[in-house]
Amino acid sequence: MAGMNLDGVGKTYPDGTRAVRSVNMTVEDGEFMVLVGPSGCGKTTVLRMMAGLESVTEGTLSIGDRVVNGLPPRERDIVMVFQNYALYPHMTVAENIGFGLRLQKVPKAERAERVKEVAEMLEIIDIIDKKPKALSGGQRQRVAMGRAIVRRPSAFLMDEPLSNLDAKLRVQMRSELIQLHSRLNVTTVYVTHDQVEAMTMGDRVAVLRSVGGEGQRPNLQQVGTPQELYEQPANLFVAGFIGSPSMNFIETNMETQGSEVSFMLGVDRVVLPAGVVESTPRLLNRDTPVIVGFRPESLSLRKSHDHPNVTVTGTAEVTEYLGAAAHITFRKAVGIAVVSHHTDRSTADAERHGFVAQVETDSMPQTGDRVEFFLRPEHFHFFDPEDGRSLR
Amino acid sequence: MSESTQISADPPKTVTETAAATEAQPGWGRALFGLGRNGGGRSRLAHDPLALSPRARAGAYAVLVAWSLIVLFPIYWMITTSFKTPLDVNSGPVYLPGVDFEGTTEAWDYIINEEPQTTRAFVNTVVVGVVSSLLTLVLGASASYGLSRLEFRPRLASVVAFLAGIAVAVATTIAGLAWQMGILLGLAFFAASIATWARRFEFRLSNDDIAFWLISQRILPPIAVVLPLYVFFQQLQLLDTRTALIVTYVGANVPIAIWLLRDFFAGIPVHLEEAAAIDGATRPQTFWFVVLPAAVPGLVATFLFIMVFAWNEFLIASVLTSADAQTMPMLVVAQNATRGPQWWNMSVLILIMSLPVILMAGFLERFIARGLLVGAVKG
Ligand SMILES: Nc1ncnc2c1ncn2[C@@H]1O[C@H](COP(=O)(O)OP(=O)(O)OP(=O)(O)O)[C@@H](O)[C@H]1O
Ligand SMILES: [Mg+2]
Repeated sequence: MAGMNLDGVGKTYPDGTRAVRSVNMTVEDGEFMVLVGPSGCGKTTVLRMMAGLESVTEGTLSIGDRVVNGLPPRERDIVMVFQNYALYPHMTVAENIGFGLRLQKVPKAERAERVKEVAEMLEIIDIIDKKPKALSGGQRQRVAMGRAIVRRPSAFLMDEPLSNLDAKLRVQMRSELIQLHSRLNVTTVYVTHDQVEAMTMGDRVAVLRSVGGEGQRPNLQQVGTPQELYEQPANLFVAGFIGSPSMNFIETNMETQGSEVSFMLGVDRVVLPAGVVESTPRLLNRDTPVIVGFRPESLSLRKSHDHPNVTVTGTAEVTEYLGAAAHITFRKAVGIAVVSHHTDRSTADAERHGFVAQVETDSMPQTGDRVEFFLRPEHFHFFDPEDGRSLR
Repeated sequence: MSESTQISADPPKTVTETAAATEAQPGWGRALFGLGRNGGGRSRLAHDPLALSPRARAGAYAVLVAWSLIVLFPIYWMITTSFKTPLDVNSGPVYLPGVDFEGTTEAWDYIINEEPQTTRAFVNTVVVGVVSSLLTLVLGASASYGLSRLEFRPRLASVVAFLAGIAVAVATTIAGLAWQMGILLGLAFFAASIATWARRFEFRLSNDDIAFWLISQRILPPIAVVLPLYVFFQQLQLLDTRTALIVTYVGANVPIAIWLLRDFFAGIPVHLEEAAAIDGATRPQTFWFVVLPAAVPGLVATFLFIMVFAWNEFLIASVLTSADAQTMPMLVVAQNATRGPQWWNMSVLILIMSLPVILMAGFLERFIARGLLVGAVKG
């Protein structure tokens, strides 16, 4: 058992590609840490550095209290599950699982015992004599897991282990992995680009972003519990990346009169309650613009009776019925500039689609209807357009 | 699966069964030794999109049978010739033993019991063929694995410096210096060059250049190197030894082995080796337990290929050997030496020397089964 610590870790590939810069992060002992981010943000690179498959070109990486920068994988007491499983094609399932133990010179009887135990735990005992080519994708995935578990390592590293499975199996394996973790309680670093996986599986989640064209930007955007990331995103990127559909953003100016702060949301004036201003004092007397964000699911078609409400009016352009909820894409009655910088994904969405609301399905509006949405002012997020940071 | 494309009469099976069958039932070995459990003649299901119509199938078999006759007839001719008397051979074509000629084992008797050199030549051929091929395989596998996994970027100037160093060594030795001194001088020149002028040229070679250089060694026709080789082994006093043949065949075959094996190693997913590293394997363990088993089909195919070359080689053997180290091809040709071509004796000798190769090919073919990497990584 061991935690992991990254101190100013960076990576430049031999061809000069800068993939990782200044990652500072601690993975607690027994924690399930998820690394999430869009394609190419360096998740795999970070994981492979942890595994010892890729050299660390800057900073220090420790597992437990040992600096492991120069150590080969076999001296790190970690295991890694590969995205494509990488099973040995000429070995049976049992041999695949037992290979690590065989290299460790674990006596044959004990090896067989441990392999069997793991195979039973993963319910692959029936296929233990088959070769990988005779297995389904889900079975191969389990064998890859078994190969990792049987070693009883101090940490698991997993690189998108579920991404090759179909949607249903993925959900099933997801909860199995969570159960497995609560049972074994081994430090786990799990890479995914799927934020649903990240939010549902992680004790904590680290959001990564690419280092940018000049390679100047640190990858790590925010580390926190899923709830922290959702409720207090540190910057526009995290705000836009976490949550589906993505957060809506507009750029606007704050107006201060006495202790009252308000801004225009299209034709609607939004007056912020004192509590919000108190928790975000930088909104007071501000003469530069602010990016305001609100999540689609904080919009509602019904007025709340025990809270102050903000009204947003718009025209429904697309309505998508999802069963439990509906997504309504709408445009503000009076056009406002939609934010077009700082977040890669959410902006593209917003520009194409306008704003999105996720609402109850009982009184769904029709396309073309003029709709009033209500939301609570505490649900607004405020960001500085200059650096994208949260103003909280 | 690739099997669907062959013209075969196997009934469709489940994927698992088919995969297992591919592994356990190599076609050629099956045909050769009658090991098969699948009878022919069963038809594919009607809906198989690759199934042939009856007429197309008849046509295909006609072509295959005709081709087999063409390929097999010389072998038949050799077998029958080995049982003919000189009279049968010289008085014009006879085809069927017992029908238009009387079979005799005279030639076999002569070659096996009277010709004094048969045993020695046979042993020479086996030793030279097997040893040189195994050595080639070890060297070729190491080199091609290195070429497929590591990136080499030697400066062209360093290579030139090395060649110049050799030239210095040779020139000074010819000029009368002791050869040890010559080599030392050459090395010194090489080291000095690398430290000085050679560093200034940045142009570097890549793995592809190295691979091409290796294969280019085979562009020269052997006849062009035979005389230098003769002088070389004469100086080393190794003429008419198996060592000389083995060394030469290894040198000639290593480029081919590398060329054939490079693709095989490149085709083995690097992820497998990384998985092994994670499982705690050292580099040698990874190579031994993971890479080699995955490369077996390539190694076996390459082994057969280069062994057949060494087995049949004539030109170099004819120059480097005279008696003790003579191989079977030399003995075959010797049957033409004094009394005109002794076709019957030649046939016997050729059959004797072919048999081990045919047996070996049939035995090894099961290892060349395709699809050995299936299931390793999600494609
Ligand atoms: N071997 C390599 N040599 C050079 N550059 C590389 C190498 N591997 C990755 N990169 C670059 O490093 C950056 C990060 O890659 P990485 O594979 O870590 O991303 P990722 O977050 O895992 O993406 P994905 O979700 O697509 O797997 C990318 O810009 C990639 O092009
Ligand atoms: Mg990746």
